[in-house]
Amino acid sequence: MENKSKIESIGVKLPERCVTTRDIISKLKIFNPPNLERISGIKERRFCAENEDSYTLAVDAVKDCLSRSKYKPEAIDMVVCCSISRNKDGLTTVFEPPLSLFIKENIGAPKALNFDIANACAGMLTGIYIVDSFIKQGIIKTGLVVSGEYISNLSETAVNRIRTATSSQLASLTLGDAGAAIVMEKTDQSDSQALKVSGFTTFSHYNNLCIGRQCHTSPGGIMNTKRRKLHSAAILELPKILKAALLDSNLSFSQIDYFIPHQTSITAIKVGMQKMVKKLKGSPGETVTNLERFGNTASTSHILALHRYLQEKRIKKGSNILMTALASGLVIGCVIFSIKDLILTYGNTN
Amino acid sequence: MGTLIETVAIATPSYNQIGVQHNSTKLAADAAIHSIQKANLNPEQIEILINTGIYRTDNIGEPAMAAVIQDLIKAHPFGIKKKRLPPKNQTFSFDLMNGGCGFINAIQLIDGLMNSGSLHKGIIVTADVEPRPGFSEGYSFAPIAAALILKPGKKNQGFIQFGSDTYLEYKDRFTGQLVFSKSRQKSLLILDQTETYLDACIRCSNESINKFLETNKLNINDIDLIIPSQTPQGLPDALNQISALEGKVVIANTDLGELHTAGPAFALEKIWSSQQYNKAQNILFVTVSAGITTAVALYRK
Repeated sequence: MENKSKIESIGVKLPERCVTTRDIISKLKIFNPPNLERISGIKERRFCAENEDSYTLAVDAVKDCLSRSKYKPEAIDMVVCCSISRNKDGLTTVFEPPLSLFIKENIGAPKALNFDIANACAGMLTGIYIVDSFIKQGIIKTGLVVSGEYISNLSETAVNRIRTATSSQLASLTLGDAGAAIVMEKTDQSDSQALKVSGFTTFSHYNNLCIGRQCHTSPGGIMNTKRRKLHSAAILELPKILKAALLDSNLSFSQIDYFIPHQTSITAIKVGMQKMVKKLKGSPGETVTNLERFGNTASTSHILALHRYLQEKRIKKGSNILMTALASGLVIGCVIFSIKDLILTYGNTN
Repeated sequence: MGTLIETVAIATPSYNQIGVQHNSTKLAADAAIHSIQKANLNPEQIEILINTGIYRTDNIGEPAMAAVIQDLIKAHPFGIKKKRLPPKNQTFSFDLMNGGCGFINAIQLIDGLMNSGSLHKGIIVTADVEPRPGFSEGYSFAPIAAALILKPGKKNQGFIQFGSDTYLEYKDRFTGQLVFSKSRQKSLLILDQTETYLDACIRCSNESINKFLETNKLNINDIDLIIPSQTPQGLPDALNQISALEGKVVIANTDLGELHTAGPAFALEKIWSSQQYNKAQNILFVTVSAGITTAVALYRK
C-alpha cells in the first residue's frame, strides 16, 4: 500500500510580551499615521523578551508539540527548520551550523537528519512538502517541521524609519513573534487524514515585491513590501492553484470546512476571499483569521491559527482543512487534509 | 529507480578583485543557464529549483534566493515561450541550507520526488559570495557557482543510496554567524574555524564512508571514485592519503579561494569528461559541513 503522511501533532510558542498596534503607531514619527488597526485587523501581537529568539521559540514550540505527541524526541527521524529569521543568542543570525542542528540537539533527537530551508512565509508549508516526500518514499517514518520567527525587530526598524503613511516598510508593523512545530508521521492511502500536498509553485517574476534582509547599520532586519502589487499578484495567481489543488483532492471549495490563508491583514484576506469565492464558484465553511491578537507571524501563521482553533475546540472531527501558502517569491502552495486524531490531542473528544 | 545527473556546470565571475561585491544570484543563474544549455533543455522544463548556497549578496533573507535565480533563468509560468503554462508544469523553488551537505540533501529530496513520478527535471544550484566585502571576518570562500540537472534513471542507476551522520561533539569547530558589532555599529559576518576542525572532518568523513559501505554491504574496492567536499581546505588531500581511499579521491582547486557549497559539483565538472570519470562505475559523493554533519551518496552509472 502506498505510503502517505499525516500531521500527528502540532505545538506553538508565543512570547508573553504583548504590544498593541496603538503602541506602535504612537511611536511613528509621521504627522498623519495610517489606521493600521482598522486596515490590518491587528490589535496586538507578541514580541520576544530579551532572552527569546528564533531558536528558543522553535525549541519551545517543539516541546509543546511533543507534549501532545505519542513520539519521544529520539523517535524523530528528520528535523526541518523553516524560519526566515534564524536568530540565536539574541539577534545573531546563524548560517553554519544550521539552526535545525541546534534544535535537534536541544530536543534530544541527535540522530535525526536535519537541514534548514528558506521560502519566506511559505517556509512551514514547504517543510510539510519536503517531509511528506521523505515519508512517502519510506526514507523516514516521522518528521518534524519547525519554525521560530523573531521578526519584531523588523517592526522596530520600521518604526524608526517610516517617514510617510505610504512607506514600503508599513507591512513590517503588522509582524509578531511566534514559534510553531508539527510532527508528521507515516500513514497509508486509506487514511482520510493523509495530506494532499499540491500546487506548490513559485511565480518568480514577482520576486521583487517583498524583500527582507539584515540591516547593515543596526541590529535586526528590514523589510520593504510593495503591498498593493503583491496583493494583486496573489489574487491573480491563487485561484488557478487552488482550483488544481482541489481537483487533486476531489473536493470543491465549498467542501472545505476551514480555509487557513497566510495571515497578513484582514482587509487583504476579505478582498482576496471575495475574488476566490467568485472564481471558484463556492465558499468554504469558514475562513480562519488569527490576526487580532497575534498579527502576521510569517512562516508560523497557519499553524498558529490551526492551533488556536483546536485549543478553542472550534474544529469538528472529519472537517476538511485547506492551508494556503502565499509568500514572497511569489510562492503559492496548498496542503489539504481531513482532521480527526489531531483534535484528540487537544482533549476534544466530541 | 535512481536519479541521474544530466549535466553539471560551473560559473565564476569575470573578475575577482578583492573588495568587489559579487552577485550570488547572478552567479548561480549563470551556472544554471549553462547547465540547461548543456542539457539542451528549455528553462520551463525545470520543475523544481533548489538553491543550496549559504552566503549571499546583502544577506537577503526573503524571498528565497532560489526564486530570484528562477526568474533570472526564466523558469517561470510564462517560460521562454511567453505563454502561460498549466499549473502542473510550473516551477517550485526554495533554499535548502546545510553547509556542504545541503547538496546531497537536495539530491535526496529530488530523487524522492522523481521516484514518486511527480517530477521529471530538477536543478540544484549553489553559489557563495562574500555578502558585503569589508564587513566580514574569516571569509575565504571563492565566488563560485555550480548547477546540476537531475533526471529519472533506471533501476539501480544514478543516485541509489544515501546516508547521513551528525557528530554533535564538534558543533563549535566551525561557525558562520552574522553579528552586530556595537563598536563599529555594523553587521559583521564572522566565520570561525578552529585549528582542529580539519582533523575532525577527516575523521568524521572516513567514519561515515565506512559506515555507509557497511550498511549497504559494499566494499571500498567496489568504489571507483570519491567526490568529496573541497572544504575545509586540505580535506580531499587528507582523504586521499587514507590507504583504502588512495587514488580514488577527486581533488579540485581554484585560485579564486576555497570551494564551499559548490565544491562537490565543481570537482565533478572538472572530471566530467575525463577518462577516470568515464571508466568509473560506482561513485561516492561525500560531503561534510559544520555540525559536524556528513552526507554520503552512492551514484551508479
